[in-house]
Amino acid sequence: MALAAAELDRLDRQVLSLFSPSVRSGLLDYFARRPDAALTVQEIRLRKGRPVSIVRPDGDSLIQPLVTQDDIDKTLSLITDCSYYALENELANGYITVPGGHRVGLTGQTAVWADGSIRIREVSGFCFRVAREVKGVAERIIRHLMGPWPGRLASTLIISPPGCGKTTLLRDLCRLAGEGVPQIGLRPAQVGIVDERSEIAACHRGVPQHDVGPRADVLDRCPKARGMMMLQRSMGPGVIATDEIGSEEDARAVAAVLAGGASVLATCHGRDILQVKKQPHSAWLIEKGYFQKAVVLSRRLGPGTVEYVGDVNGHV
Amino acid sequence: MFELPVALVKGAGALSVIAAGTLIGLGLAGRLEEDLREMERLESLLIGLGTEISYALVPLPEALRKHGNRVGGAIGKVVSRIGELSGLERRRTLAEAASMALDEAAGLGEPPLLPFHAALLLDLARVLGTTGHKEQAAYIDHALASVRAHRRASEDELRKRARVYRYLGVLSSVSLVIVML
Repeated sequence: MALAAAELDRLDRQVLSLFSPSVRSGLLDYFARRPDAALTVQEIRLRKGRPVSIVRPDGDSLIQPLVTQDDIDKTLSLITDCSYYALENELANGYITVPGGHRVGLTGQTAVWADGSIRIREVSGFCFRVAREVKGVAERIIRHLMGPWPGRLASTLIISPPGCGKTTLLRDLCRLAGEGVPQIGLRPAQVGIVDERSEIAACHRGVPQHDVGPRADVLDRCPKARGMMMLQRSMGPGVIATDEIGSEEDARAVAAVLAGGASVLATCHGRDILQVKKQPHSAWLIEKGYFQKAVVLSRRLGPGTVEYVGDVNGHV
Repeated sequence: MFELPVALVKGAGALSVIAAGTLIGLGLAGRLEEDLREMERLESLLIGLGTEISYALVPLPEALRKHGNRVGGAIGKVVSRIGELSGLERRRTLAEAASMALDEAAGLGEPPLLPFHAALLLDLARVLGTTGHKEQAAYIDHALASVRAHRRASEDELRKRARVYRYLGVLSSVSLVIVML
């Protein structure tokens, strides 16, 4: 109960206070009736002219009042810090990140500009993805990810279907890599994070909102392949982390970074290593020995269930 | 007991009346000239804001604080306060912050904003920060043009009235002294 109250307090300070008073009070009424929902809410969706939607793992609930244009305007003004113009490029991607690491997706009427970029001219909906940091998830597996060189992590591929906790695990690995773990002989390393979709560090104005460790340098919203090369050249990291590799360009960048001496922590969609090996570029990276370790996650016992951790070629 | 000569007393009295009248005239003229300076400050502020928005993409609350402090005066104070009250951190939209800052200024007995300036600030607060930078630049250009037109229209009139107040202060006090003597 106390946990739910604390979580509701955090949710109110970071998310609900971005809504108009009528929407906020509707949501607070809902959470007062269902205190446990504050712990599990995944998304809050606002759509103009329709009820507010609260998405939880077991389904969603529609709550009154209906969202008005004023509600939309207020929320848009707050999430952009009254400065829509300053976030035009970010908004062209369809989302921005607000303090606390919560990602806000936007929908509405779009316009395609002469340079091919898409701008949302009339915002009519928001999807707030509630961010929850789960610290410590990597602690129980990190000893299996030590590399052949003393004190350093092996290059590791984290594999799972969507929603199983790949990014959460990657974030915690970044934190541990930066802090070091003396008990297992892991020395602290400079960590470079290429966060193309602002999901690992959830930067707001370039400042990580999640704990990615004391030695992390983040390139926020930077294309993965170019970002890895930039970090390699400019920051000299011992570990480079990035999310969802898969293209040929990503694979070449990983190979180049590894040749430069850094370890790579990356995630990849897939049910298991065999499935990942069917994807040409990921398979190439595994077969060439660029990744030595793998972690496979599932939701079998809830998000973050570790199905396998160990040598990338040891899993059958 | 020592008695002052009557002529000396009358002379001192006459001088005091003339000095008081002159000061009242100068004060009224000064107030009108301050109105003109306020208009110039608003122009300078809008030019600065336009630059911040179009080129530097500085968040609006920060730009308002910076340029409000830079231009000073009553308008600068209110604009800087709008910057302090608005934004993500304070969970207030610009329109909410603008009406709050204007209410605060009125409540604190600050020198009042010209009605034209207060209306312009409220209008701008409804649109600033809500669109892309090209539209924002157009809003600011439009506001700047209307401030300039307003200043041109009222500048001659204000300067004339200021001159009249200065002369009127001196002349009316001299007339009063003549009548009293």
